[in-house]
Amino acid sequence: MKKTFLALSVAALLSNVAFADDAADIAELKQQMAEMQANQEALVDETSNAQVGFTTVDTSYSHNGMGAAASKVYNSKSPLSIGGYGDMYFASSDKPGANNISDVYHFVPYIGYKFTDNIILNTEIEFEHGGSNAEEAIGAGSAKAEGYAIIEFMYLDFLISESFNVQLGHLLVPMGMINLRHEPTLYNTIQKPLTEKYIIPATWHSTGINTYGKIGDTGLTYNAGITQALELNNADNGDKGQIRDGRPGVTGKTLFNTAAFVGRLDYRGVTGLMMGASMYYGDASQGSVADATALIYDLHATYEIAGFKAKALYGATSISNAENIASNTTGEPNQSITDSNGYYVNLEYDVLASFATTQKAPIFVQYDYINPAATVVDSLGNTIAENVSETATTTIGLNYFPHEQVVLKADYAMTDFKAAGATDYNTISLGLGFIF
Amino acid sequence: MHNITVSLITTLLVGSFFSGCGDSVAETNQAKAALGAELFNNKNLSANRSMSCATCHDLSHGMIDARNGSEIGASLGDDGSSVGDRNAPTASYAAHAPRFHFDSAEGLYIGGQFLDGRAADLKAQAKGPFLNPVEMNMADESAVIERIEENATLVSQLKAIYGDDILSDDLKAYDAVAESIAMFEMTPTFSPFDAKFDRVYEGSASFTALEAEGKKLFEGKALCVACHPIEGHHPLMTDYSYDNLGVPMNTALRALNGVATIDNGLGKEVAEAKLNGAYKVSTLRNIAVTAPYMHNGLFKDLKTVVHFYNTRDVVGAINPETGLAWKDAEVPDTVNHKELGNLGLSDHEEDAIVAFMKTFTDQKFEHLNP
Repeated sequence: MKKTFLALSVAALLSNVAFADDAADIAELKQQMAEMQANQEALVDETSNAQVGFTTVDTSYSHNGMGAAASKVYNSKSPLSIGGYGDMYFASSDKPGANNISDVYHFVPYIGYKFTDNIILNTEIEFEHGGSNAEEAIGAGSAKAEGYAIIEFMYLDFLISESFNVQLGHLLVPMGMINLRHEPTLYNTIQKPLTEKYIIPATWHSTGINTYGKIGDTGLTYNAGITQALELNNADNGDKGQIRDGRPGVTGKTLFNTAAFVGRLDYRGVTGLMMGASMYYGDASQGSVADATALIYDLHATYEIAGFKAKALYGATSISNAENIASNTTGEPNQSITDSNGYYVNLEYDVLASFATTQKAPIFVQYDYINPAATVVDSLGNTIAENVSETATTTIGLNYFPHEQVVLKADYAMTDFKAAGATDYNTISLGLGFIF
Repeated sequence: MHNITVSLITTLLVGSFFSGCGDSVAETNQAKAALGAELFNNKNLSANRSMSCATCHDLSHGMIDARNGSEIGASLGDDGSSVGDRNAPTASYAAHAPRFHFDSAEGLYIGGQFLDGRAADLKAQAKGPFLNPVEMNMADESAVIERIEENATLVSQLKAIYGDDILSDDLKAYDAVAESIAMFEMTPTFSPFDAKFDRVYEGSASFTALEAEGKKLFEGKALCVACHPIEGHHPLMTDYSYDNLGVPMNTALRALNGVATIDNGLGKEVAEAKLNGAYKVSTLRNIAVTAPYMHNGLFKDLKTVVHFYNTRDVVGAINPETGLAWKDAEVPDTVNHKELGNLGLSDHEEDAIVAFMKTFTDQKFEHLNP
């Protein structure tokens, strides 16, 4: 309809030109042409939003705590929303035997669709480490075989009211800070904090139901839901990867024998401040052993003022009756962690904060401590190891945002193992990231 | 659906975060391990009542057969005359082997018990020696259960753990026996992780200069870590893969046991000729106190093993135990020539590697280090 209108207008304009015969007419025609051009530009903008689905990212917007790009469909003008993020890096480590590497770490399209203003589909497709490749072509055991493409979330969101909404499908588990906000413009290090990776453990996604909303005018928001339980009876039992490897994932037919409760409470009642807590409580083994339950929780806070930003998170895991997980007479594994914990503190200051520019250049320092296997028991309940893989990583670095959606990163991470026999190492990394 | 419902009800309504109701599982496991210890040491479970599991896996001697030192290379059976064809491996740290499986990503068979992986796991392994004619030589599972029924204490323990009717089905009872032994093998008795190597890792000890030199060679020039990784906390010092090291036939052992066929190891078990002569990579924990070495007990000294890896493919190289050139491999077609055979190590470097491997000995066996 709008195109038809445009065509008719242009035809009319040409008709006027054909009969113009004096300066007044020419001036009038020029005026008409200018008005037509303005109308045309406005229509182009409008039609592109309506038909192509391109809404630019509002970097200040977050829906239910998610990153700006992940939230895009919620404030998109058109039904179809396409967004995404990506990041890649180069790293050089003095770890013995380590090569310098480059890693096209993530490319992640978000595709969202509004069926109505109240029924929303949101999806995230993640290509990690360059995406998938056939092992046959690159050699078994190759680092390149780590690449994969998966659906990280795919859910329907039923927006009911400010205080109560329901998400159903494959969801990001609302734990910690990075899990919901893992776009590269939202954290300043090149690698995610180990506390969020091994204790929370991000990125953690599973199938279930989540309710969320505001609690009146208190500044509080909540999430509460039921999700697939962890499966902590896995090949990494007793080691730092046990919690992480217990995530149900999305590939193939994942186990859903048992479920767990996930909840979160955040407070944003003071300008610049966000603080909150989250927890997972439920079965720890997808029903493979009796009575083993996991409690994972975190306390987190961020505070921003005048170019300064501070973040802190403490996370911990307790597995009750872990000896039941360790109990296995089939030859593997016969140990399990019972406790893990970690925390990190990140301070940054934007050195361009006092300049009249939209660009940003935050410098930062982060201290990240993990004790992912603080206590390990065997199948008889004996404590057989403590403080396995206890690690502290201090990272200093610089980000540069030439545009609010584009970041260049450089950092230097110093990894310090508590175990005397483990070799400490340092890594310098250069990276880039973007959201759209 | 039932499980989910129960889980949700438990999660949302009961809310007993840490009820402690699972203590009974640990207690049951402890009872099984205690029973397993009794069974492990019980000589009445062999035909002539002369052998127990502990006979070939001596708990005070590296968990190997210490009766004849390194002289025979394999174990003497319950009948007093039969001799096996394979060197009894240490039972220490055996619990950590993954179940026998084919790793499609690596293209390798991994894990399992026995040197050829023919038992998938500890429990399956524990069922083997009772019925092996050249080991404990019992007629069948029922014969083993009959011997257990002679012992009121064992009967009582079995019934307390597995139920009063456990002995009414011999195969079920035999399964319970094997499970209990497996549970005993999963206790810290078998896996204390307290060797000097562990103490250095934890910061409470330090390597001597020779040991440190050996570690550097172990991780580098000697290529040991290709199959015996030592990184991280509590490494098992094996990747549980299978390999043909080119070990010659143990002719002295064959003269004793009369075996005349080629031992094809894993290749026979999985019926793949390309894996003939391959055996499971052993843990190196307690290696210094668990002579003899190799699948057929051919070598008596650990340094001979290192020298074999170092010079197997070097023309004119000598076996120091015989003073003769290395003999040809028993299964020559599938020998690994890529990672061993000509490592270019000096005599001193071999000594350093041996010194380093002596740090793999559990604290309770350190007095046995040669």
